[in-house]
Amino acid sequence: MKPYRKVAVIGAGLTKFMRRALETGRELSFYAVKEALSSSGLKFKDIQSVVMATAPDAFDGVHMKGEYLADGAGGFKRPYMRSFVGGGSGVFAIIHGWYMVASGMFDTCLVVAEEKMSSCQPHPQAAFNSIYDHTLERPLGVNLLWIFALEMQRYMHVHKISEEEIALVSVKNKKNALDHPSAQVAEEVTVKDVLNSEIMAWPVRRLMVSPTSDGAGAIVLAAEHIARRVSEKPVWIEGIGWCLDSSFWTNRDLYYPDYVEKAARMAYEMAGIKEPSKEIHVAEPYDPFAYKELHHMEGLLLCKRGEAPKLTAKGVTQRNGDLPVCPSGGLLGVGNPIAAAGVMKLCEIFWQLRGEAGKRQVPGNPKRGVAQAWGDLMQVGTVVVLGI
Amino acid sequence: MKKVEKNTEIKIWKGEISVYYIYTSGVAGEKFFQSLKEGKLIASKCPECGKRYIPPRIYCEECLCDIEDYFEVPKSGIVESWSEVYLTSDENYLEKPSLIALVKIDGTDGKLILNALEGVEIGDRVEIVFEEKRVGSMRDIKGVRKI
Amino acid sequence: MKVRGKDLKKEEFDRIVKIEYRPKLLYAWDSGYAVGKFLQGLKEGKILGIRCRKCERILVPPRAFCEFCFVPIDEWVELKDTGRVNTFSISYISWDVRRLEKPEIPAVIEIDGASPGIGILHLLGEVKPEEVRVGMRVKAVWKKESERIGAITDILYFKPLKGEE
Repeated sequence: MKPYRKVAVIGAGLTKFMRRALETGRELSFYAVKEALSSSGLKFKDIQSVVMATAPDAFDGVHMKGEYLADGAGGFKRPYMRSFVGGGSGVFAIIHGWYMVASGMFDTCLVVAEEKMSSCQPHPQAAFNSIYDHTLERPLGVNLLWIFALEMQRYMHVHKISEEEIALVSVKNKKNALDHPSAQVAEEVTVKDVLNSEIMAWPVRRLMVSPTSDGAGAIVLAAEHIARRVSEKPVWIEGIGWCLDSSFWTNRDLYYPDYVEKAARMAYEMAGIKEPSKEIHVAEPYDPFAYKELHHMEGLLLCKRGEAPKLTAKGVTQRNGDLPVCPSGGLLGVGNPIAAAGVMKLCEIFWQLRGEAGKRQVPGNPKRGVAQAWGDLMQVGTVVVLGI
Repeated sequence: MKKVEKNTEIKIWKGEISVYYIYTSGVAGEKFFQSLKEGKLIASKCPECGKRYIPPRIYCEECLCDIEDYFEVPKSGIVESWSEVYLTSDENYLEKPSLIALVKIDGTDGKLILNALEGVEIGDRVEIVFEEKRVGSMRDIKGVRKI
Repeated sequence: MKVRGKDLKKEEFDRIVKIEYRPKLLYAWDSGYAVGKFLQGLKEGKILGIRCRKCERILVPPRAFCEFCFVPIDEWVELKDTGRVNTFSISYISWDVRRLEKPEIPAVIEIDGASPGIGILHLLGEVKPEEVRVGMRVKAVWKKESERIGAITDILYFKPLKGEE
C-alpha cells in the first residue's frame, strides 16, 4: 500500500463559456476562483498552493501564460505550478493538485484552468496547426480537422459505424447543455440537422464539432481533516491515471485510444474498481467531436470496443439511462476552452455526486463518477475517478 | 557527448507560424483606456485591504475579492528608476537613444513605465503629459517631465 | 451557482479598445540525423525507412532511436513508393479556416516495405473523393527530378494504383 493521504474536492466554480469574452484571462480566472472558494467553505487565506492548467500560450498570445495568470488565479505569493499536457490539462491539473495534498506537502490546493482562445487570429485553429511535424507534415498545408477526420474515419471503418449513430451524440449533448448555466452552444437539434450541416473535413460535419471558447473553471482540494471540518459532502478523489502515447501518430491504429485505456486502468486500480461498466454511475469523457465520446467510452472500459454507438442508440447514455454519459452537455454543448473544459467535466461529476446538479441531475444517487480529458496529437489520456 | 559523424546534406527546414492577435483589454482595462482617451488617469481600490491599483483591476491579488471602486488620480508621480535605451528588440541601434522612467503614480500603490521627455533622477517629482489627440491607448500619454 | 462573463456581440467588439499584435515567428528547424537523411532520400526519388534491430520493426518516418525499445537505430531500408490507404478524409476547410471549392484529400498511407500499420501523412490526388476507400492501393507521384529539393512535398500526392485491389 503506497502511503498517501485522502484528498477531497470541496468546492467548484465556472465562468460562462463564450465565443469572445470582454474579460482578460486573469479576470476570467478570478471569476472561477471566487465561485469555487465561496462554495468550498474556505477563505482565500486558507489556500496553501495553486495549480494552473492552461493550454498553449499561442492561443491567448501571452508568453509564459501560467505566470501571467497567476495573480488572477490566487497565485499571489504562494507555491504555484503550471500543468500542461494539451487538451488533457484540465484533468491533469487535478491530478497535479492531488499530489500537492496527498503527499502531505500542503493541506489545501486550488486548481484553476483558463483559456482565452479568441485572441488568436485569423482563427485559433491556425495556432493548433503547429502541433504537426514542422518538416514532414506542415508543408502539406495541414489543418487540425484532418487529424480528427482521419481518426473518425478509421473508427467508423473498423466497427462499421454509421454517421447517424455518431450524430446521436451531438443531439444528446447539445440538448443536455440547455440546462447548463455556462453553456455556449446548447440547442435542440435532430439527427437530420446534424447530417445536413456543412461538411468540414468528411466525415466531420459542423454540428459534430465543439466551438472555440473563452472560459475558466476552478476547484478546491483539501486534505481529509480539513474537508470533514468545512464540507458537508466532500467528494473524494479515489483514482487518478494518465498516459501519453507516441507522437508518431501515423504509426498507430487510430481506431482505439490505447492510452485512454492505460490511464483508466491506472485510475480504476487505485480506486479498487474491477468492473467499470457496473461500478461507474456517471461518466464525463472528453467530447471535442461527437465520435470522440464513443471512442473514449470504449477506452474508459465502460463498454466493449465498437459497442458505444449501440448503447447510445438504445438511450443507455441519456441522463435517465443506465450509464449517463456527459449529463453536463459536454464540450459539444457547453463549449471548449481547452483546459477549462476538463475542469468543467470534473465540476459536473462533483455536483452530480452531491445531488446538486439541478435540472441536469441524474437520478438514482450516483456514488461514483469518472471524468476524462484528452489532448495533443491523439496522444494523452488523463482520468480521475471521484466517489462520495 | 559524441561528435556528430553521420553527415547529411539537408540539415535545416525553414518555416513560419503565422498567427496574429487581437486582445481585449478586459473589464478594468476597458475603463482605463476610455479614461486615457478623456485625458484622465484612473485607479481602483480594494474594499478589504485598501490597496490602490493602477492600471486598475477588478480583483485584489492579495485578498481575492471583487473591486468595484474606481477613482481619478493626479497626473503626477515620483521617479523610482530610469534607463537610457540604445537598442531595439532585434538588436539594431535606435537613431536616438530613448529615455524611460518607472514612475510611482500619486494616490496609488502602482507604477507605470513611461517616456521621460528629459533627463530625470530617482526621487524627482514629475508631471504626466498627455497627447493632444488621443485614441484610448498607452500612447495617449506623451511622457513625464520634472515639475 | 453564479457564472460570470461578458460575451461580446460583434457591435460591442467593434466598439471596445483593442490591441493588435503581429509577431514575426520564423523558424529554422534542424532536421536531425534521421529526418535529414529521409529528406535526402526524397530528393533522390526514394522513400527511406529505418529498422530497429531489437523489435525488428521497419519504421517510416525514420527516427534515430526506437521509441519502444529505447535503443539507437541506424539500419536504413529503401522502401517502395507504393502503399495502402489506412484512413482518409475529404477536407473542405483550408489551414486558415477558409472554405475550399475543390476539397483536399489527406490520408495516412501504409508504405510497402515498412512494418504493418506504419504509415505517413500525405495527400491523395487524381481520384474522385467518392471513389476513395480504406484499403485502396496507391502510388506516389513525384515532382520532376530538377524540382525536388529534399522535402515531403517532393511527392506531389499519391494516386490510385489501377488493377490491384
